[in-house]
Formats: sequence, structure tokens, C-alpha cells
Amino acid sequence: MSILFVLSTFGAAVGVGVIGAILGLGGGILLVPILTMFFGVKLHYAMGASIISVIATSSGAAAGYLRSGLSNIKIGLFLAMATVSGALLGAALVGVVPERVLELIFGAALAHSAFMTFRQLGIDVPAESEAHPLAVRFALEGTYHDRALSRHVSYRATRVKSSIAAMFAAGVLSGLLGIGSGAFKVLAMDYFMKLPMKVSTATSNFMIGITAAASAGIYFGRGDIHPVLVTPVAVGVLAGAYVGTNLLTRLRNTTVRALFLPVLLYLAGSMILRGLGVL
Amino acid sequence: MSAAVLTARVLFWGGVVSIALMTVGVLGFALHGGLAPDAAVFTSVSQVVRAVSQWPVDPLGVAGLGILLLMITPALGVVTAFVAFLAAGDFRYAGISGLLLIGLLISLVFAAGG
Repeated sequence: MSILFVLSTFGAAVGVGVIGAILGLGGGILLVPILTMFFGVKLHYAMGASIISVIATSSGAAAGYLRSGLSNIKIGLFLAMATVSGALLGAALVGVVPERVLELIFGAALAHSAFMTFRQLGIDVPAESEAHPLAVRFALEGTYHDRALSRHVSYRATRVKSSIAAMFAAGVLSGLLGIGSGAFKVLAMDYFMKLPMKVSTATSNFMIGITAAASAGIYFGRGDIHPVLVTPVAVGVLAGAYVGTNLLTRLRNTTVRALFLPVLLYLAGSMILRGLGVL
Repeated sequence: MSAAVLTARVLFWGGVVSIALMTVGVLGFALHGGLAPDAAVFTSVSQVVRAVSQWPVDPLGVAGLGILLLMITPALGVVTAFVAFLAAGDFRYAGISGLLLIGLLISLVFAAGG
């Protein structure tokens, strides 16, 4: 490994951290292909670096978002419980459930979500809806100061049961297929709970660290976490996440949703192709 | 201080300290023998502990320590939320944080067995 390699991976990681912090994704969907295709890193080391980058993005971004009130700790913990239980079930189901069928189902669900996200592109702050009894009971609500709109925005979660089901399913998928579920977390909060898009991505940032921590031990035990590769990636991602957090507070919800749409389309396409056995 | 602010502090300092340890470790390693591609990769906590408890300290062990700290930082955040909610008398969310911690512990047991 040369100094040039270290500096280039650092630069790529800064970009991944910025995007990850804004969109509430760990950055694995970007980092793994970048490291393997452009830097010739072996796939298992790239995946190890990716899981560490998820935790670094989450720690860097969540700290800022929790302080500013953009990330909702109660909604995050409430939904993380569903994801972690789902991930445990998913891990137990490896080899039992036909993975291709699941990939097709989730690919189709993502394609549908992409269509719905497209239809909601122009909506900045969701209209206030009737309070769901579970949202009231578990205080799934909050207020944040929107710098782009120059006003305080209050929100309260709707369709709580559907979002729990979606998060549980996302957990099963990540436990079974070993893929990150940041996009599903954002979707559950944006689509089902009808939270402002920025609250959804910021809260997802808090949650992805928790779910990644649940599986990081597996990667470490397998020897997939290479200190010399992981360090520039983690430092870069953390720096990028810091920039991304500051950017998100200034962006409009509509812009964040527009940036999220291509990620959804990419995920839906790759999952359907994997399900069909093309990838 | 609210659970959110306390958790934010733990996540922030967990991230900063682990990144500092990783950077110092890898820089120390590079100064000693360059960035050899076949550098040691740790697969257990005891290997990392051995690497940092010897003299002179193995610089990569210091980086390994930073990686381990980063890996447990989110769990430390949940522990902080649990304690903060408990102290504030919010037993519902103390319970949710507690259940989440149990889930994380079960995953770790799975990881150790797998």
C-alpha cells in the first residue's frame, strides 16, 4: 500500500461520508464498489471497511444530529428494536429461506417505494395527520428548527404498526443477506411514519450504527477488518460525515428526497437482478 | 441533560478517541516499516490486548484498539440512553433501550459462535 493509495481512499471516503450523512445510509452501497473496482481491494476487506465506515458515519453524524434535534432518539430506539429483532431472525433463517425469492419481493417493494417517493418529490413538510395511538403512547414526535425554511417544524409519526413491520422486515433482510438497511430505515420513516425527510435521514444515521455494531463482530472475527485500509476510510468518512451534517441542516426536504430517489432505483434494480440470477 | 445530548456526547467522543487511536497506530506502523500490504489483521480481542500490552507496544495493536472502541461506540450510546432515561424516570424508554441492548448482546453471542 502506497501513500497515494492511502490518500486516495481517504478522499473517496470523505465523499462517501458526506453522502451517507445526508441520506442516512452507511455508505456501503458506494464504498464497496469503489474500493473493489477502483482500488483493487479484495471484496471481504472492502466489506469489512464498509461496516466500519457505517459505524464511523453514524457516530460522527448522529452526534451532531442528536444535539441539533434533527435526529429523534426515541423514534430511533423504538424502530431499532424492530430491526435488531428482525436481524436476529434473519441470521437464524440463513439457509432455510430461498434468498432469491426474498430479493425479488424486496426489489419489487423498493421499486414501488421509488415510485411513491417520485410522486412525493415536491412535498417539503408532510401535512399534519391524525395522531396514531401508539405514537402518542410512545411519544413518537418532535420539533426541529428548519434552517432552509427559517421556522420550527413539528411532526408526529403515523402508521406506526406498518413502520414496525417494515423495520422488522428490513432487519430480516439485512440479517439474512448481509446487506445494509439504511435505505429501508429512511423509507419506513418517510413513507409510513410521514416524518420530514431530513428527520428520517438524520434518525436513520443514529440507527445504522446500532445495527452495524450488531454484525461488526462477525467481520472482525473473520479477519475482514484490515487496520491499514480501515483507518484512512474511517477518518475520511468521519470528516465527510461532519461536513454532511452541516449541509443537511441547510438543505430543503425536497432536495434530500430528490437525492434519495436514485439510490432507491439503484437498490431496487440490483436486488431484482440478483433475485433473477443476473447479478 | 437530556438523553439525546448525553448519547450525542458519548457517540462523538467514542468516534474521536477511536479515530485518534487508529491514526496514531497506523502512522506509527508506517514510520517503522512502511505500509506493508501483508500487515497483521486481528481476529480476536485477546490478540489486540497482547499487541498493546507488550513493550515496545505494537503500533498496529493501538490501531486495533481504536477499531474495537469504534465497534462498541454505538452500544455505549445505547447504554448511555438507558441510564439517562432511567435517571429521568422514563421507564418506557429505559425498557426499550434495555431490550435493544439484550438484542445486541445476543447478536454478539451469535457472532462469537459463528
